[in-house]
Amino acid sequence: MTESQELREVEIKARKAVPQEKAPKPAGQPGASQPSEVKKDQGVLYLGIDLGTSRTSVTASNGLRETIPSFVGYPKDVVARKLLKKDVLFGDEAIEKRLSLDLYRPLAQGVLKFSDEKGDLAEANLRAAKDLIAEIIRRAKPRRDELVYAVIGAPAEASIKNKEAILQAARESVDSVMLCSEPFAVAYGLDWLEDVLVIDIGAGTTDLCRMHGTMPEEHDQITLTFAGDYIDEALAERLKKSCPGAAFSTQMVKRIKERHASVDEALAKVEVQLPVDGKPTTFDITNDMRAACRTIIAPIVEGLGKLVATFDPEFQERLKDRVLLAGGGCQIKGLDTAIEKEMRARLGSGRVLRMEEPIYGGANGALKIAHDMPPEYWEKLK
Amino acid sequence: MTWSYKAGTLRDNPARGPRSTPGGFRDMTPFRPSQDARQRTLDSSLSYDGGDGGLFSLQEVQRLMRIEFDRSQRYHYPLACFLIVVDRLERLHDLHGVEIKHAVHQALTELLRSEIRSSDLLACLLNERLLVMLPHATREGADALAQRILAGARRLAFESQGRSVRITLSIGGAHNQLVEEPQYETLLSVAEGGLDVAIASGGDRYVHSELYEHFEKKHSRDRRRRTDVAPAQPLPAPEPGPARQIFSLGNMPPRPAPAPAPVHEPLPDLSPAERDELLQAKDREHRVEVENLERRISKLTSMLEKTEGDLRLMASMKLGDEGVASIYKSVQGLSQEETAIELKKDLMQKIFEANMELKQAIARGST
Repeated sequence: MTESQELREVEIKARKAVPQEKAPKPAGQPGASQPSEVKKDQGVLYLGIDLGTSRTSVTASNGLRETIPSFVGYPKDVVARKLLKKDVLFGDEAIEKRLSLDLYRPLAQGVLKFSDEKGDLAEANLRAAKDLIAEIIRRAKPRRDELVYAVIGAPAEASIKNKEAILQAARESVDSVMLCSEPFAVAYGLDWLEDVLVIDIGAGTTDLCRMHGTMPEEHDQITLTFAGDYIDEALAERLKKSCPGAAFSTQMVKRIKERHASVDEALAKVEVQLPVDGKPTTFDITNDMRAACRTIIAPIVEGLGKLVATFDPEFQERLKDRVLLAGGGCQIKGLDTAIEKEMRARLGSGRVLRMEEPIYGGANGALKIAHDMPPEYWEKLK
Repeated sequence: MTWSYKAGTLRDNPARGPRSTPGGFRDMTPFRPSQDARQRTLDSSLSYDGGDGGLFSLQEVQRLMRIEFDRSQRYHYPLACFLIVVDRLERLHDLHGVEIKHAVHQALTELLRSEIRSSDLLACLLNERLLVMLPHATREGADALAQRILAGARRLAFESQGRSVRITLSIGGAHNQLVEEPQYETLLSVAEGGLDVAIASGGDRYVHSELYEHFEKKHSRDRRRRTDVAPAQPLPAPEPGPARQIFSLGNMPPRPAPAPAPVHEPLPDLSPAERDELLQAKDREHRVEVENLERRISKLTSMLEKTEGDLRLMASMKLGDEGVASIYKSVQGLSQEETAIELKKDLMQKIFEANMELKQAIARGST
C-alpha cells in the first residue's frame, strides 16, 4: 500500500469518527465532546509517541509518522558549531557527526538516564530528552493553531521520578500529555485486549505484559533487560574472541546486528569486514550472531512462564496461544519460531504472532489511546 | 578626579585692551553697506549656542563665512582665516578624561573670544578644530594675532589630579590677498594644509602654507565638473596629503606675484634625516590606522555573519512549513460504533486515573 493510499484510508476512518455524525453525548459523561472548551478555529492534533531507548517514533492524526534514533548531539565547541551550523543534532545526523558533538542517548533500559539522581549529568540528560521530544513532535508538523495532545508510551516498570522526567520533558511541547504502558499501547493498537501476552522487545528493555480485558497491573507486567543492547554486548564479547585484532565500536556492532540479526538454524553465512590494524578484514560471524541473538530467548520464555503460571488456570492455554511479538527486537529473523519452540519445550505449548509494524506498533497504539480518550480527561490533565 | 581650570590666566594681558584688534584694521570698511545691520546680525549669531559654548554651528558658520568671503571679494578687502587645533588633545583626553578636554575647549574658546573682535567669526568644525574668519585683517595683522593666540595658549594652566597640564596650539593660516580671486574652499584648504604642516612639525606654531595655486586649480576643476550641483556645498574634506608631501619634500610652489611678504613660520626646509624621520612617523601612523581598519573590518565581518544568520533564521521561519492539519477539528473520544466500547471506556478511565494520580504525586513531591 502506498503512503497516499494509507493516508486516504486513515482519513476515511477518521471521517467516520467525526463527532457531528454522532449524537451529542450528555455533558459530563466520559466521551462527551465539549466544543465550548475548544476554539472552533483550532484543530486537535493527536500524537502517539514511542519514546524508546534506541528509536523514538511518532504517529500523528494528520497522517504523518516519523522515527529517529534516540540520539541527541550538541556541538562541542564554537568551531564545531560553526562547522555544523546547528545548535543541536538528532538521530542519524548526530551519530554521523558524533566526533564533533557531545552525544547523548537520553534513555537507557527504557527510562531516562539519571532521572532518579541530581547533578549536571542528570540535567544534561533531561535537556537532551526534552530536545528529543520537541524534535519528534516538530517532525509531526503540528500547525501553530492546533492543540497538541500526546500519549507517550513509558516502560511498564518506570519509576515515578522517571515518569515525572518524561512528563516534564514533554510538557514544553504539547498542550496535554498522558503516559501509558508501552506493551499495553501495542495491544490496544491492535484491539487485542483480552487474554494476550505481549512481548515488546526494545533496545533497553523487553516488556512482557498480560492483557486480560482490563488495565494491566503491576503483577501483569515484567520488564527484562535482555533486549537489543544486551544482544549488542553479547555480540561484541563474542566478536572480541572470534575476531582477534578486529577493532569495532558499539555503533558498528549495532549496525551489524540490525542487518544480520537472526536465530535461524539455517542462517545464511554472515560475513562482515572489520579493520585489523587499519586493514579491512573479512570475518565469518554466523555462529556469533545466532548465539548472541538467542541469549534473550530463554529469559523471555521464563518471564512468559511466570505470567502464564500466575494466570487463571482456565485461561492459561488461551493465553499461551495468543503471544504477540512487538518492538524493534521482533525484526530478528526466526525469533517468533524460536520462542514458540522454547515455549513448547518449557510450557507445553505456545503460538507467537509477529507484529507487522514493529517500529510504529507502540506509537500507533498510543495514538489510538489518544484519540479514544474523552475530551474532559485531556482538559483535566492540561 | 579633581579638576580645575585657572581662567584668570586668560585675561591678564596688560599689553593690550580687551578688544584690541590685530594689525590696526579697525573701521576700514567705509564702503560696506548697512554695516550696522550686518553687525546686528553677527551679534545675534554670535549669541547662538550651537552646543559649543556659544560658537557657531557648522552650518551657520558656513553660511556667514561664505557671505563674508563673497563680500570681501566683491569689495576687495582683506580677509584671513585660521584653523586651530590643540596639540595632542586626544592624548590628554586619554590620560585625564573627558573633563579636561571640555575644559581645554572652553578655555580656548574664551581665549579666542578675548583676542578676536566681535565682528570676527569663530566656529567649531569637526575633529575638534576651530575656524576663525577675520574680515578686514591684513596679512601682518593676522600673523600678529596668531602669535598672540599661541602665546595665550601657552599661558593657560590646567590641573588634573594635582598635576599641572599645559597646552599648545597648531594654527594654519590663509589670506585672500595672496592670490587673485581665490575661492572660499581654496582658503580653507590652504589653512588646512598649513595646519597639517604645523602639526607634523611638532605643534605650537603657526604656518601659512601658501599653496593657493594647487588648491585653486583643484577647486576650479571640481567646480567645472559639478556645474549641475547646487552651489551651497558643505565644507570640502581636508586633503592634507599633497600639502604634507610638498612641504616635507621642500618643494614649495612658486609664490604668486603680488604676495612678497614672508610667512611668519618659515616652511620647513628639512634635512634628509629629518625627512626620513617624518616619513617614518607617517608610516607608523598609517600602519596603526591600517591595523585599526583591519580590526574594524574583522568586527564588521563577524557582525555581518551574525546578521546573516539571523536573517536566514527569520526567512526560514517566515517561509517555514506551516504544518499539516490534523483531520480532527475537535476533541474526539470513543465512537459509539467502537467494538467493546464499555471495556475501552473503562480502560481510558483507568489510564486517566493513573495519570491523575501521577500528576498529584508529582505535585506533592514538588511542594
